[in-house]
Amino acid sequence: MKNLHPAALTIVSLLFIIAATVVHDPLVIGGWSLIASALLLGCRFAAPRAWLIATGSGILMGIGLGVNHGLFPAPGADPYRAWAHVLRPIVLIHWSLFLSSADPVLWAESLHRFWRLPLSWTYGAQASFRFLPLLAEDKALADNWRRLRSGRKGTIVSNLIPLLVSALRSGAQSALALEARGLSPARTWRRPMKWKAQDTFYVALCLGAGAAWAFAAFKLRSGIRLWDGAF
Amino acid sequence: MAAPLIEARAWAPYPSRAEAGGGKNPLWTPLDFAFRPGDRVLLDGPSGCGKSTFLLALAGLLSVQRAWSETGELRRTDRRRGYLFQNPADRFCTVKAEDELAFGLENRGLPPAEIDRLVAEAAHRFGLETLLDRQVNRLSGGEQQRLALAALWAEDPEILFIDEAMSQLDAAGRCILLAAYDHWSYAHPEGLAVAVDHRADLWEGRFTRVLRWRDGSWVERNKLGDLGLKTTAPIRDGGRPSAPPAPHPKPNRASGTVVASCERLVLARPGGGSRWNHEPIDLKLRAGNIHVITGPNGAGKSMLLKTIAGLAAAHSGEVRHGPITLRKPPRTKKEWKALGARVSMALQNPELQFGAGLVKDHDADPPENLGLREHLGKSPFELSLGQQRRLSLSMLGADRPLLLLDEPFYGQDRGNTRILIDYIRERAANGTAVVLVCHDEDLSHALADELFHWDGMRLSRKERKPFYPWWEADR
Repeated sequence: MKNLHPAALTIVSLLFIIAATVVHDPLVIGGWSLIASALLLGCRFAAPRAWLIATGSGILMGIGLGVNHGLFPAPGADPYRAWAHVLRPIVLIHWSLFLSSADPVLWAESLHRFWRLPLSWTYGAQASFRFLPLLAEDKALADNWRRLRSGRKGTIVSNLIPLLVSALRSGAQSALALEARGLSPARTWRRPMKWKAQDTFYVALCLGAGAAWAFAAFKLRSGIRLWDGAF
Repeated sequence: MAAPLIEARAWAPYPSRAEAGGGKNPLWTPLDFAFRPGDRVLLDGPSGCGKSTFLLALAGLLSVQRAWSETGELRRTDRRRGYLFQNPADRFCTVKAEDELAFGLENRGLPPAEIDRLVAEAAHRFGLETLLDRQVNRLSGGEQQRLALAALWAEDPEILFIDEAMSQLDAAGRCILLAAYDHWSYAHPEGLAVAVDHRADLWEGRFTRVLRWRDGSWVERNKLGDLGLKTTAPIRDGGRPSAPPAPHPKPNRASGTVVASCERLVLARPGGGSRWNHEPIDLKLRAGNIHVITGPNGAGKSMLLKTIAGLAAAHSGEVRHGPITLRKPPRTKKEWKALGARVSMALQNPELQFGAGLVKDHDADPPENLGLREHLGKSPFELSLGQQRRLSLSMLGADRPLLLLDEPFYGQDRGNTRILIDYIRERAANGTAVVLVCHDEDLSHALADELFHWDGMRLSRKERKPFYPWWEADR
């Protein structure tokens, strides 16, 4: 996985995420989740912690959606379709997390080199990888400081303002640093990023497995709709 | 005479919004100057006068942050520029140390093989070989500084801009910076360096020209004496100003009632909470005393203060505040209130203390006591870093027996340093135990009733020495 082109990971993950949001069959969605699970567990640098996070958070969200469906059933809702809603978060989180197993720097670079997005977006994405953990640490520190000062955590507004300012400042500082260090479209790239045969094979394998599972599920339960025209 | 690298004619920038309002308000009286090859220029002025803005404008970076226009003309050659910010981490553009070293070289359009060679050379020169795979966020302060300097060194700029790069550094960090600067200066005799710093003396005579803020504009001076420092030697021959050092009046030993103590305390690293590899800390903080902790960047001084304040969990051991015993932050509102009645702390990043509202709405001590009278109607986020730091101090309750201050002098000019010294001494005279983390050796020796050195492994008592009172220089 480590040597795969980040764009290959992006293509496969995005396609599965989009498909999972429009397909309403729990059997199909469950199978796609298993494919993502297997990839996550096979991925050296993400598994098994990432698998646990993806599965755990997916199940929790699924339970939430299931309870919601039970308490507030939509008119004409059928329980089979409700299961699809319950399983969907597992697929979405699994595939999103699988995408995050790409090297963040290479993934951000691929946004420009493969997808032709502007360089400033690419490095904006990199900066967010760097600043998100720092923002979380700042939030915990600011919360505790307010508790120490007044015994209370403070209002949502008073807590959010410094973090928002901090995030904006970090963004502005990043832009300044990029400019100061001469970021230019004429730059060279130290690391090669070539689409290889193994990337094509990986994309074909994942999409093929996904399509095969959907077809098998359709055959197994003929008459079950894979797509009912509703988003 | 060589052609100037940067030349200004009746030049002054102004925010474009002012133009929309119908009038141009330049930041200073329009200037004429020429910086030529070989010039080493220092900008000196009080906090908030616009030194950093001047530097950004010179480097052509002002428009990155806001919309600016300018009167007159500023011409600069397109030689390679390098910019060193106050905080070394502000220079970082990537996630990993190795990518950080390569980033500027890629921007220069060098071939990959040449980039690999220069990255390896820079890593070797600055001792970063074992850190190349690490995330820049996870490096210590000292390591971040070395990485920033190594990246700058690899980029090989011909025009160097330095924005108070000394202000966050310990003595060892300053030596590394000066060595890197000397290397650059030797390699680029025809290069140009422009620096902003409150502490001209720390640069030990490395500048040949001085621009000082006076009466709304920049005035050229060429002697340290013109900066108010007590020497008559031209700065190219000078070194540290020759004012007689002040002997320390008191022995390095605190006395008084113990208001808080650390017993066998071992710090936890941020994030995972793993053990900080150091000897357990035993420390007694006494009423009416100023305890100063010095030490290298990244040693964990801020974490020590946060652990004492109950803002961060310890790995083992405990902190006692009278009847309260802490190992991790309190859980209930009642416990926080009880702890908050005994401790207050100013954070290293003052902005985390602010909320909605104006300066005057941030209660506690009247902010005008700390030189903020003119800023009461502003948002705290509009203030300069030095002003923010003073406001954050004014928000700390005056009745708490323990006051913890994390780098309060950072970003302060000489006048405001004096205000803060008076504030801290007054708090101690009123019976508060003050714990101060400080990089400045002179301030540490001047203020401490008890002086400690924390190297990340061991907290040891440090002998106090005579100090140079640089903050009194322009009295």
